[in-house]
Amino acid sequence: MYILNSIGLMLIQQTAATGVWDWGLVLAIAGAVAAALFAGIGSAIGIGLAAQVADGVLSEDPDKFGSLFLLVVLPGTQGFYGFLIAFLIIMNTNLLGGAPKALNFGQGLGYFLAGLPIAFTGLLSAIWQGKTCAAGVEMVAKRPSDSMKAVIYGAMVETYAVLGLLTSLFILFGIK
Amino acid sequence: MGVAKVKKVLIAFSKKYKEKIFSILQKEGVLHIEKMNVASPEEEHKTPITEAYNYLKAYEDKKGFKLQKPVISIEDLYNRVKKLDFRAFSKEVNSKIERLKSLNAEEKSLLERRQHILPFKTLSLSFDNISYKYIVASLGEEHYKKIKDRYNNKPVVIELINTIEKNKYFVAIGNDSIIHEISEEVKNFGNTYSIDKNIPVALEIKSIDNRLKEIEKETYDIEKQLKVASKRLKELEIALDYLEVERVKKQTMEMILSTDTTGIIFGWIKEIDTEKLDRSLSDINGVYIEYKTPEKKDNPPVALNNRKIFKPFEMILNLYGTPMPEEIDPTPLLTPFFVIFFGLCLTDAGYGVLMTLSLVLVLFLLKRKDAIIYVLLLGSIATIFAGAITGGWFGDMPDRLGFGWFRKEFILFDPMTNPMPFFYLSLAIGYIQMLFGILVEVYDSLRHKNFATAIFENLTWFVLLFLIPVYAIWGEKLSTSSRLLIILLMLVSVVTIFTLSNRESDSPLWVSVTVWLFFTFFMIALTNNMWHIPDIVVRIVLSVIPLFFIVSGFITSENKKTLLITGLIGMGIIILWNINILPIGLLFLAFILPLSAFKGWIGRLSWGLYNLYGATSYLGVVLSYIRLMALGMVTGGIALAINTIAWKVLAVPYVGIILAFIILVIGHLYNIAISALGAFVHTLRLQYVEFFPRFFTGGGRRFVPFRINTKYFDIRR
Repeated sequence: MYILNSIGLMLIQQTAATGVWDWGLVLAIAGAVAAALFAGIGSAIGIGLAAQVADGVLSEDPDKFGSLFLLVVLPGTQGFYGFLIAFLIIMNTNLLGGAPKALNFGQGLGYFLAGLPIAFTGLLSAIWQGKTCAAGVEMVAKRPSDSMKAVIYGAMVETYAVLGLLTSLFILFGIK
Repeated sequence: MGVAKVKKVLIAFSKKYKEKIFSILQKEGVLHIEKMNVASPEEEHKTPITEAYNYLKAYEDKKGFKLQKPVISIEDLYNRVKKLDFRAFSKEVNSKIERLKSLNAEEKSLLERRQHILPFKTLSLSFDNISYKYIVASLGEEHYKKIKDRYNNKPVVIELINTIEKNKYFVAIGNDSIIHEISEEVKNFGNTYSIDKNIPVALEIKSIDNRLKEIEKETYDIEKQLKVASKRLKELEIALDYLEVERVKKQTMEMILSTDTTGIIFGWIKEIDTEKLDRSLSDINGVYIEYKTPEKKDNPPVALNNRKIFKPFEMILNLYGTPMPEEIDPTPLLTPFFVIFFGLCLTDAGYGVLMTLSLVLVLFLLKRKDAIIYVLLLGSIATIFAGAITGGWFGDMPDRLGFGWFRKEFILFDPMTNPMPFFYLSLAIGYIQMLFGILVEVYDSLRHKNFATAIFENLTWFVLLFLIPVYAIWGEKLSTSSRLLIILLMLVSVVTIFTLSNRESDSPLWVSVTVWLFFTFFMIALTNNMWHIPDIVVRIVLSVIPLFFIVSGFITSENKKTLLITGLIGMGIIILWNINILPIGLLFLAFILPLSAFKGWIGRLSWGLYNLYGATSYLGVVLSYIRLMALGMVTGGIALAINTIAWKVLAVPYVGIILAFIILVIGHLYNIAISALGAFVHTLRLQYVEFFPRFFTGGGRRFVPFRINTKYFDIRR
């Protein structure tokens, strides 16, 4: 919240001082927003899906909490990937430093596009990982000793969020 | 290393010693007993003792986790159980718990009743005329007024008892029909209360209060007794462990075959344990033991047998599956990779130090010896190194605290400003593990005497995959001759995979050699411009093919003419050299492949092509390791974010430093947790998906010895 507030404040000050929107900066912020927003939504949905099923299993057998825990939190990583990209965009544009970098339209667009890969791979892979993990939870209910196998299937889905994250990172580091 | 040698064992014994023999076997814990009999399924059900234990546990004084299981010998356990009357004790506990439950239920219903009638506490109905009916009810203000007005002059008395928040609590006494009408009204808009006309409400409330006091006292007494009883929890623990040992023994005893006088155990034992078994059963008369070396069709269970440092990592294999009896145990092979990968996924020396310290604490102070703790400990130590070379110490903490020099002391590259070295490092490590996997494949094929597979498939791929990056990176700098050697080796490898990797059909050796030679020299000739091979070399090399054709044309009886003609034409073309090489090749193919000796080669070559296409899967495997970089950067990036936020919060007046501290502690702990989770899962994945398929499929049976398995005590051996 604190970060968001200060960014908002920064934009208002900037606009007030110059009288025009700095579209490069706006685009960069939009990129950060997309990355954190969509990947975060995906993780929230994914964890929700797995947790609902896990709650059902726990109502029968509370001792399984430990073995189900990994499966439930696994779709949470995408949110972190999105947040990381958002944070790096914020840092690179010096939004937190007090004086945002002057970005031209092209650079701003670059930052925006850098946010998109993790935004969408994060969103969709987290949801599907949630579904995979929910099915895994059901499996663990019947075969508790195989919980790690379910986790591995979940991790398969995450691969593509990792690739999205890498793409975002590479683009981000490439913007001069 | 790896899979332990297992012997098939048969034990025949006189039935009167059955119980004794099984007790000994359970104590020794070396025998995997084969299920020969469909035993009645005896599930572990909730006994009254378990129930009593679980309830009593809640009344135990000291909460918090147990540091360590007490150690006891099995004889001690049995002796102590004999002295205990645990059944009576748990019965007593259970009856007390039942009493508590019923008291609790009574209290609840009494409290409800009290709440219900409380508004009428001043009411005291007492009239003798039984022709009058009455109703005790409550209505909202408006409805009450309506009724009051409606029955103003009727033979009914409506008396307001209490008003609480616009609700009128009243009693109406009158004749049957009017009371009935009122009760209809109340049914729709209010509540009725069943109150005995002979007992004043105040009295009832008083008696409820008295009863509640009694209940409270009795509850207190019982809980006190339970608290005292909870000191005897240990007795129940002993009993539960004893019962479990007995249950397993009974169940196993039902698994074997027996006649009226003798019993036979079919089982498996590790070779090193055979002496132990002989010794332990030597005192008993009429026991016959026979060992046999297992055959393949026996499908023996697989026992892993690793050195102490690799032992904890068997956990990783067990999560995946058990090796087949003839397979390699991958545990020691994956251990170094697992540790390094885990470290690279975390890459923060601060986190590594923190995790190492807390794990050492768990290991030595709490004496927990779970495999996962060892695995994580080694991973944490690797994390310290990985963090040091990437300059991660709780993110960029040293810089912020003015110890920037310290961070730079060990740093090789900073992924936050220069991520490419990390990228190459991840790829290189993946490449190394892949090549290592192929070498294991070679070893495995040689072990099974599949020499052709070892040489033409595994080793060839190794050579090819090893040389491609060497040529791509250093090719320009190498001397001409060594470069030529590398190129030749690569070409030979490609052709070998293309022509020889699929050996299903049984064509004669000379045909295989012909095809191999043809494609090798054809490839060399085809690409000679690319590699700057002198023209004369190509001509000499190429002429080997038609020469070979001519020679084999003289040797073999069939296809004599075609081979001779093809060879002569080829020779002519090569000597007269001016035509493009590609049509020559196609011309050869058109001559060779229709020959009967070459039957099935079109199919073989297509499969060979498909195998070559498999190179893309090797590429995919190596690329998969970039996740090491991604995960490492997430840890570092989030740590940086936490620090940045904390330092921003520092600006908040007065409480800033406290807030910053809280953010740092919670943030970094959370980051450790989520990053370690990711590191563990993805490191596992790299082993399972990228490393194992090279040489490991699993699917064996696990060696599960019949032994003592207790929950609350550790049995001394």
